[in-house]
Amino acid sequence: MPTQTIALNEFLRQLRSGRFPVSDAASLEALSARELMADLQRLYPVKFQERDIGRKHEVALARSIRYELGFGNRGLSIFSPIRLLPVLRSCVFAGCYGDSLSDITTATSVYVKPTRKPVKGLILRMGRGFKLDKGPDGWALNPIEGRAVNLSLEFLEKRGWQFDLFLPFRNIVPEAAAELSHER
Amino acid sequence: MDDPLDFVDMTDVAVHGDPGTWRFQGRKQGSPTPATSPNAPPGTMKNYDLYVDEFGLKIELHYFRYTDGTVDDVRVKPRT
Repeated sequence: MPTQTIALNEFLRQLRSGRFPVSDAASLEALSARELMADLQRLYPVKFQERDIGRKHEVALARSIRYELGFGNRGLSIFSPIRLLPVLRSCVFAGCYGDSLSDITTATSVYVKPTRKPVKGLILRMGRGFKLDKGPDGWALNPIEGRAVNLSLEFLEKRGWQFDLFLPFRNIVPEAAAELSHER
Repeated sequence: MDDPLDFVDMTDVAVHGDPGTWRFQGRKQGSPTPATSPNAPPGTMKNYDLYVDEFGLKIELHYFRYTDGTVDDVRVKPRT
């Protein structure tokens, strides 16, 4: 494993545990944020969000995706509809302005659940994690705990969410996944 | 002119909800103020806007606005 990858792994390990020494964060400013993000993607291959807005670039990655069974409202039926709900595991969110890293966050997971109220969208719940954030007074490391947030598909599309990733079996039956994606 | 709420990052959305639901509470006293960073182009203003997020938490939105209306370095901070 290259030394650079070992260093990145160690940095992320410390960040995930909330034990990253903030005094070391200044060294991040010497790095190319775009290169760092590319390196992150090698370790966290599931890219579920990416966008550019103004000088800002942001990306959200997961190490893996798994599916959990969810039971829908059965209404008048004697059977419960079953859904496969995606869970993005071991996530990293990173943002930069230009080529300077502005923030990097680790989260244990992001749970994703569909909703139709008040509009068609997703309920996202981010697991606990830590955010390393660069402010005018320097870098700060803070714990974060996401809540269940209801976000419309329109909002998430504008932010570059990759919905196709949430389709199970997409690698096995790519044509069916593409069809499902169009039906959305 | 850029809307700074469009720049709020996903982790802040996950904690504070859709920025479109935040309630604007005005500007912090003294805001906007000229940016003092040596890298800031002349005329850049530092802004501190006050909001209540989707869950009732009081927060601040900090950002720079350039003379052409674009924004930069947008951050969500707890209210101080």
